[in-house]
Amino acid sequence: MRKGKATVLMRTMVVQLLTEDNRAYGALAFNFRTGEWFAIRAKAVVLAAGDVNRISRNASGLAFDSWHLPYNTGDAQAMGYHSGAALANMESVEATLTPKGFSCQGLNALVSLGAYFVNKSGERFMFKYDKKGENARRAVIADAAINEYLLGNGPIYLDCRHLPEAMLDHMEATLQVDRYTLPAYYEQKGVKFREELVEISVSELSIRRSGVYFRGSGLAVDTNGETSVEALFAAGDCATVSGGISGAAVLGHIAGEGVVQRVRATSGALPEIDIKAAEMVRAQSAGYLDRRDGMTWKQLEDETRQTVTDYVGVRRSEKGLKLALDTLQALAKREAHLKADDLHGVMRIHESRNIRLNAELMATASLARKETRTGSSHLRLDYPQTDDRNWRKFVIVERGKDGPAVRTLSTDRPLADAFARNAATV
Amino acid sequence: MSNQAKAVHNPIRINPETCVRCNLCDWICPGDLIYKEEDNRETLPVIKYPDECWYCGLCQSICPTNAITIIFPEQMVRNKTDVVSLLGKVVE
Repeated sequence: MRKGKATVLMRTMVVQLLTEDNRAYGALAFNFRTGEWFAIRAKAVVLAAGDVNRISRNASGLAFDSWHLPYNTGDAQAMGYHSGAALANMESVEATLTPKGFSCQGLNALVSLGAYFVNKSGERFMFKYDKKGENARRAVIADAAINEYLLGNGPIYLDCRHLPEAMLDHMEATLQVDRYTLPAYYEQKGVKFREELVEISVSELSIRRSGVYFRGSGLAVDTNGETSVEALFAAGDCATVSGGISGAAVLGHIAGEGVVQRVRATSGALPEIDIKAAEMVRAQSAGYLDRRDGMTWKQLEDETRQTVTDYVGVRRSEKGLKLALDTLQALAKREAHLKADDLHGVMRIHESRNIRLNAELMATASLARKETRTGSSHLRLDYPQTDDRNWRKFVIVERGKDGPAVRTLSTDRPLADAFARNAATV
Repeated sequence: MSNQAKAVHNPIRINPETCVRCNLCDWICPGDLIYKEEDNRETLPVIKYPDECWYCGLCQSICPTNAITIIFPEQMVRNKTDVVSLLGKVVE
């Protein structure tokens, strides 16, 4: 980027987009080491801030011990929402299986090399759920383990004991590929995975995709990577076309080309920055630092995580989701009383507020989809069947008059058909 | 505050004998946890927010003198959580 003469702002968090008449023209940001603020004007804005983590509880109870990057907190989704952008598939959540106590990547790699999953009776249970056994899709494996735990067949274990020495050597040599610290973890835990069963857990949830590649959760984008807000683009796990790092690279490229098209098509002066509105954003952040008594971001997050875990997680119902929405909306009112000790804390407050908002969007979309789809990525206890007749639809969430509003769009139509800026051509 | 700070597990242990006070760990930490005073070869990096660690080990992997060790806390290495408690409450 620097080679292309771009200015890179290190340790700088974007907290608000600048939009006018459904068109993005910049962003407000602050440096969380120096406290310096930036008002940036642009002909196009690309959001690439990843998925939503720190949104539900896990085995260790440590919020930052997560399968995916815990510093990805749905900032793009939240800022897009506040600017009027449409989001889709927000009801879908994703979890994986991890060594119990450490929410890290890497188990699936072992399984694809021939490891088994067994339950407390030593039963290799995966074939009950999928003819491919342990080679089933990640979502199917997570579903199966969740079900085994709920049936009382836990703990679930990873079993490598049957594998030949050469394969075990290979596994040991590549253990750090997905997570650099996994060998150190096994060593400190005293795990000998070559000879012993390794107890596993279901990870915390993230809002990213629904267990299906390229059915991403996040900002709805058209085939140029542009959201429903003109000149606002999204790529990677914050957008609806999500497929891990390869998908992010491809969509990032597409969004880059889309930006060039949009910039070339943009003529005339950009709107002037509303200094008064920008000052209000800065004053709000300063307020977090000035406040002596109030709620910490950790309290806000803990309550959000507990609510999501209990009522918006892998067993949903209308009553539970409504209860969650009540709690999450009551929490939003308390955000005015958040306090921070330092600039780092101000950054975390912005993240925590974004996490809470994403939880509210997830609960809202989950309440709307009256069916179960892709197993535990959207499991409604009160609508346990997949209903293709009525629900081959996107659930679209966007800012309404009194909070998140929902509508649906047939999956036979491109998502862009739901965009206000395209409404005239639909 | 000091009592609370003492109770928090520090996952990033820096060996003061081998640390060359170079700043790389501060620079690479994705969570803004590690603070190292710039242009001062006397001071050690400080783990300012130890409970916000991802346990990714980037600081350890970039350290030019292997001065960093990642230590996992008790609740990660000897975990007693009932996994079913993470799988939601049934509300009829």
